[in-house]
Amino acid sequence: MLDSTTRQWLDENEVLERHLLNRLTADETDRLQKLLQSFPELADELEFQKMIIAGIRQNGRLELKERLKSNIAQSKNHSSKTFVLYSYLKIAAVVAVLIGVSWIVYSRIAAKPEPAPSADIKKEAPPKELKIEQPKIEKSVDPKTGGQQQIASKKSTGKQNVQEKPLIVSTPSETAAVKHKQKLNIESLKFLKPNELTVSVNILDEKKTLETKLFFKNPTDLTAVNIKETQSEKDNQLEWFYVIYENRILNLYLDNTQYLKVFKNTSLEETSEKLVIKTSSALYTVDLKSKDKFKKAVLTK
Amino acid sequence: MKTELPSYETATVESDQKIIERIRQGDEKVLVHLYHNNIMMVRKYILDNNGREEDAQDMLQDALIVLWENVAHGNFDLTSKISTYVYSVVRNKWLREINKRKIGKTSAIDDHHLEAETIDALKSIIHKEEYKVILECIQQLGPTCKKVLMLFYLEEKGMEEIARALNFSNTDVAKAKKWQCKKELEALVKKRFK
Repeated sequence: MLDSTTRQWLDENEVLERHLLNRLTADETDRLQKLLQSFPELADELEFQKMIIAGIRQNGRLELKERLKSNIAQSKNHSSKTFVLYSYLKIAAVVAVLIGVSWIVYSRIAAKPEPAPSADIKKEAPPKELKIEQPKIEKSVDPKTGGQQQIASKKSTGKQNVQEKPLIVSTPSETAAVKHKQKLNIESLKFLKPNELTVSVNILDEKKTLETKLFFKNPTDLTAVNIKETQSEKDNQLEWFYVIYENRILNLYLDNTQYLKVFKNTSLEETSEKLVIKTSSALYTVDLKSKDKFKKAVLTK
Repeated sequence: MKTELPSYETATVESDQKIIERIRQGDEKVLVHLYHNNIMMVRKYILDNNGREEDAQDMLQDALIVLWENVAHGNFDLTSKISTYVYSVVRNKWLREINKRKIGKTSAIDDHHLEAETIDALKSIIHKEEYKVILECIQQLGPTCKKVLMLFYLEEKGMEEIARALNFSNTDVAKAKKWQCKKELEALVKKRFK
């Protein structure tokens, strides 16, 4: 049975609790260890304290998790409302632009000296009504099917933006470079915006530089050291790959419907010394041991 | 060859610092921001590894709680990006979860080890029951008590911070409140275990 002095020391200094929170001094720890060996009831008390503290922490975690879930749900509601509003605004903007363009074109046609016979009668009517008349407006805005396509494309652009699909851009000359197997040198990587990586590719034979952009859903990530995957392909399309820049590995996630054409059918192999990027027509080697690293991805075939 | 400085990368590292600061200040909204930033990556990993959408959400939420706790305890050093850290935590948790699910399905246990396994399982069940009781007793405490105990034991805040957060007049009041709440909880738990 613990004597009163020891009991007082334990209670006033909250020794058991401080021991569980690793806040005892070395001397206090020694003294406590001796007491624990001599008094089994003290060990039981310590176990009880351990459970209480663990329970408080677990409760805290559970409550924090519930609040997090609730906040996430609220943020999604807010986003979907914003999405709907944004969609309406986009549609309204498109309609406004079309009306504006139609009005401008119509005004120019209306200013011509030779009036159209049937249109004359219509033109005598109040101007506002004429503007709303369909045939003239349609003709002026619709070169072949351009007008309709425009609308469609704007709609699809709107959808694309709203769904936030990353847009991968590739220029015809990049495709040409791959076809002709010209020497390519990846000159630099630039992160000018959170979701956009600009890759400068130097075509050595033509002495020019192309800039291609990779848009991706997540901001650039640094992979943890224990992640072994270097790339992921699905249906022969590259889902994501990583490159090395300035001592760090950047993990880029690409939308698997569109991707940089230069890197189509790409595979990556990594050893401790080098990273080998194989495309359908080229092989790049990145020397991981050199200081310059990815400043120069050397085309080796 | 010119060295191109990735301006966004610098900005991203700074952003992580700001996020850590906000966590230290107790801003829970920042976890929502981290959730949205990392859910795609986590979802892909979990779905590629025999998981479901709900598992991905759960794992990420748990990982963010771990981050929260470690930052609060001062156990988090910003040596890599937050998303890297979160990804690692998710991976570790998911691997453990997969193993747990496999063990749950497997019934082939050596007779030789059966007794030890059974005792461990019983201990585990007893612990779980004890925790359940403690969690139920915590719900019987007042909101201030719950908050004080959470700030002190989960987030390991000092008395000054607790006094400030809960508008106590001074640290002695905070200390007394914490002691009182803990005693109240202990009494409730002991009553249940009798």
